[in-house]
Parts: sequence; structure tokens; C-alpha cells
Amino acid sequence: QTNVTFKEHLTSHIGLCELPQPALDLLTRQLDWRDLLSLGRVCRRLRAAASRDSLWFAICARRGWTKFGLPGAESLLSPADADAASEGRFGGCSSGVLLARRQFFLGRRVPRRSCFGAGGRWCFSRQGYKANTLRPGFVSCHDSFAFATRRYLKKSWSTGRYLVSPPLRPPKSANPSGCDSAISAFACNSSVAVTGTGEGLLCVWHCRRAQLMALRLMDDPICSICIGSAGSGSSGGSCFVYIGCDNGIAYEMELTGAASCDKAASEWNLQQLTVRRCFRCCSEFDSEGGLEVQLLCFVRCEDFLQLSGSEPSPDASLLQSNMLIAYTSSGSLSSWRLDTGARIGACLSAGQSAGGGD
Amino acid sequence: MPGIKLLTVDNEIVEVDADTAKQSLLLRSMLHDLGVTEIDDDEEAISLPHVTAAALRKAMAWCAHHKDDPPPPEDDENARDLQPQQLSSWDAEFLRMDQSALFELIQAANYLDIRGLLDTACKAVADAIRGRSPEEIRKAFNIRCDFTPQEEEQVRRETEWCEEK
Repeated sequence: QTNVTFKEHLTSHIGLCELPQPALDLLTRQLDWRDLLSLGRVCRRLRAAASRDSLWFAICARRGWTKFGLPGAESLLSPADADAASEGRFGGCSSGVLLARRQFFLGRRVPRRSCFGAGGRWCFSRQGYKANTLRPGFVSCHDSFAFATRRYLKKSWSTGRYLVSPPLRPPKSANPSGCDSAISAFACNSSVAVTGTGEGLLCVWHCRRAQLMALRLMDDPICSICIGSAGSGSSGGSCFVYIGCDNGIAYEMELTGAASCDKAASEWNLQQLTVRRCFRCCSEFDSEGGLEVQLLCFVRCEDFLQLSGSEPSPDASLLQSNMLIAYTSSGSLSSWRLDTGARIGACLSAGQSAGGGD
Repeated sequence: MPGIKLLTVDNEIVEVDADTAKQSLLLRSMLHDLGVTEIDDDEEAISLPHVTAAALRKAMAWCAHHKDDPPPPEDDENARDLQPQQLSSWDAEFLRMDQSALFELIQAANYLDIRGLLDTACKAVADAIRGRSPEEIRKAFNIRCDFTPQEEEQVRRETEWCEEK
């Protein structure tokens, strides 16, 4: 009798949502990110099944997106970072999807017109490239377009299609060696993308047309670029580009009219305003999946000295408009206010404190 | 071939080939524990509380066809191939059944611990999900949306960015 009751229960209730957990795990692993997102909108149980971190780790590894095994990367995605990332100032950790997902966990939404991909500072995957043909696969996107410089493709995140695009590739003629040199640094905001090569060639691109607007040859091998937030949001305003070089020199350069992006290249005012010593923060490591992750960013040395009173030693740091966040490979995380120099927080609580301080 | 008797949840006794049954890790360990070597008419059937007779027969048919397969590779999520693997034509034909039968089969494969079958059947379900919108998935699998309006709104906002313009 009990068996019959059980049988009725079994047959009347079993459906996709009632499958045993191991089956749901196997099933979700067959799906790609787009289908997982759809599945996550169906019902609660499927949402839980489609949101497992390990699924998203695997997808990122499979697609050559940076794994998010960056030390401290998750802690760095504090609410403050998420805000900054959604403003396109720096991207959180790797692919847009991943960044977006981490933001989901924080209960944040990603505005459609935001920079998912992350200004290229955070995550460069070199998966699949041999050591002698290294060409960092910077990925960045804006207005739902991504520029993947290693493949010279433009991908629409909204449709998932790849489109052949004019590559963000430095012109050969402007190159000292005359050869096609790999882009070693990349940053973008809503209107311009800036690339730099190891031979010191700096290029400014029109973000949507992928058109070269200006270029400049510098003496030093460029290793990191970031675009400051000053004025970049307002039309007709100027923004500052910070360029870090391998030999420890940093440049601060003003791009006037960067936001409007309508000027011809000749009208561009590329001015080297200040040369400062800079601390370049560079960390390279092999993660277990064999992915090589390169993390580049720089912080002005005097800022750091002033704030921390010691030589910078962390593996990575972020400079936000009014805040410096740094973390070490051991996982400790600290943040300071730039205006007062006060230390806001440390370790795991840093994210929340920083959010409050902002 | 020695056979064994299994009592299914719908009170049916199914006799299966012992060698085939050993592809189920559950049955293998049961047989090992019970020391069953040959069929005995007086012997009591082994009771399987989560498995229907139809699903059991299907599962055993799958096992019989795949008895010479190499064991499935170790569980490693990161080592998965880039492309989802296609079902073999035999498996695709085998799994052509109505949805509730398929889910019963999955339930049985999970309970009996037949990894290869579970994997294969889940692939078939994944194929049915692929490329569908949430609403289409609900309709196809007859799922009731159990989100509260607030949750629904939150979920919608989270995935807004990747929707078609």
C-alpha cells in the first residue's frame, strides 16, 4: 500500500524542478551562460541550480575568460568597486558576465550602458597562446560591444554574435621596428579606447568606430594604462590618461574633448603634463587551470607613501577617485581615503567599510 | 547468465541479468553485500523504493547496450570539452520518450547510480532547454513560476543587460 502511494507521489510530482540534485548538476553543466541565465529565471530551484559558482568558473575557463581565482578578486568586488565598475572606471575582475554575476550577489544591477569588460586592467587571459607568441587578449566592451584585440573581433554581448571589426591594432608605419607589435596595455571609457605597446606606441581610438584618432610615440615601454574619471562623464570635458611604463615612469596626459569624440585627430591635444615616479603593480601567476593571469595597475608612489607610510608591497591596488584599495597575495585587503589619508578598513571588512566611506 | 529479482516501487518484480545490473553501482554493492551469485527461486526480490518498473527496464536496456563502454571519466568540471558532447544516435533514439518517462529514468539512474545513463539522459534534457527563453522553458516543462513579484523583478533586472535590444 505504501508503495502505491509513493508511486503516485513519484509520478505526479516529478518534473524538471524535482529532479535529484546530481541530475540538475549534470544538466546545468551542459549549458552555456546564456541558457543558464534563462534557466535561472524559471523558478527558485532552477535559479539555485544555475547559479552555482563552480558552473561559472568552468564557463570562464572554457571560454578563455580569466578565471576568478585571482587572489582577493572576490573581496575586491565590494559595493564600492561595483559602483566604480558600473561607471566604467575600472572593471571588476574579468569578463563582463562574471563581473555582472558578482554584482548580482551584491544585489546590484549592471546598467546596460556600462563597461562590463573592464577596461582591460584586471584580467587578461592568455589561454591558448604559446610563450613566444604572447598577445594578451584584452577584452573590453562598451555599449554592448566588446573589442577583443587578440582576435580582432567585435562581439555583441546582446546578440552573442561576433562581427569582424577594425582591429585596435597599432599601425605598422608608426612603429619603430616597423613590425606589428602586440598591444601591451589597454583601457577604455565610454568614448575612447587607449592602447599602448611594449615599444612605447600610444594610440587613442574612437571607441565605437574602432578608428585611430591619435597616436604618440613615447620613450618607454608602456605596461599599464588607465583612464581617469575627471570630466570623462560630461560631454566636451577632458579626461586624464595615466600611463605606466616598465621602467617605473608614469605619464599623466590630458585628452581634451575626449567625451565628445567628434574631433579630428589633428585637433587632439595630447599633452604630457606631468612625469612622476610611479609604482607599477604587476602580478603574474599561474593558476591551477594553467591559465596565466596578468594583473596590471599602478598607483602613484607618493600617494601610497603618504598614505601607508611604507613602500608599497601589495600585489595589486586600485585607485578610485577618492580611495585606494590594495590587497596582497596573502589575502589581506586595505583601503585608504585619498583626501584624508585615513585608513578605512582592512581585511575582509574593507569592502563594506569602503562602501560606507564612499 | 544468472539473474536477480528486483521489486520496483509499483510492486512489480523484474528479473534482470546480474552482469548487466552490476553497471549500477548500487546494485553491484548490494549484490556484493548479499553475496548473491546465482538465482534462487525462493530468494526474496531486492526492493527498489525509487524506481518504477518501466524505468528499470529502460535502464537495464541501456546498460545492456553500453556494457562494453569504458567507465565514465572522473568528475572534473574544468576539464570539460569546449563544446557540449553530442548524443550518439543510438542514445538519441533510446531517449525518445515522453517527458515524465525521461524524468523517471533520470530518477532511477540517479538512485541506481548508473553514471553513464544519468549523464546521457541529462544531456537530452539540456538539449531541450538550450536556446529557450524562461517562459518557453516553463511552458515546455510545465513549471510554475514560484518567484514573488519582488523576486521576479530582481531576477528580471539582473538579466536585463543581456537581453536582445
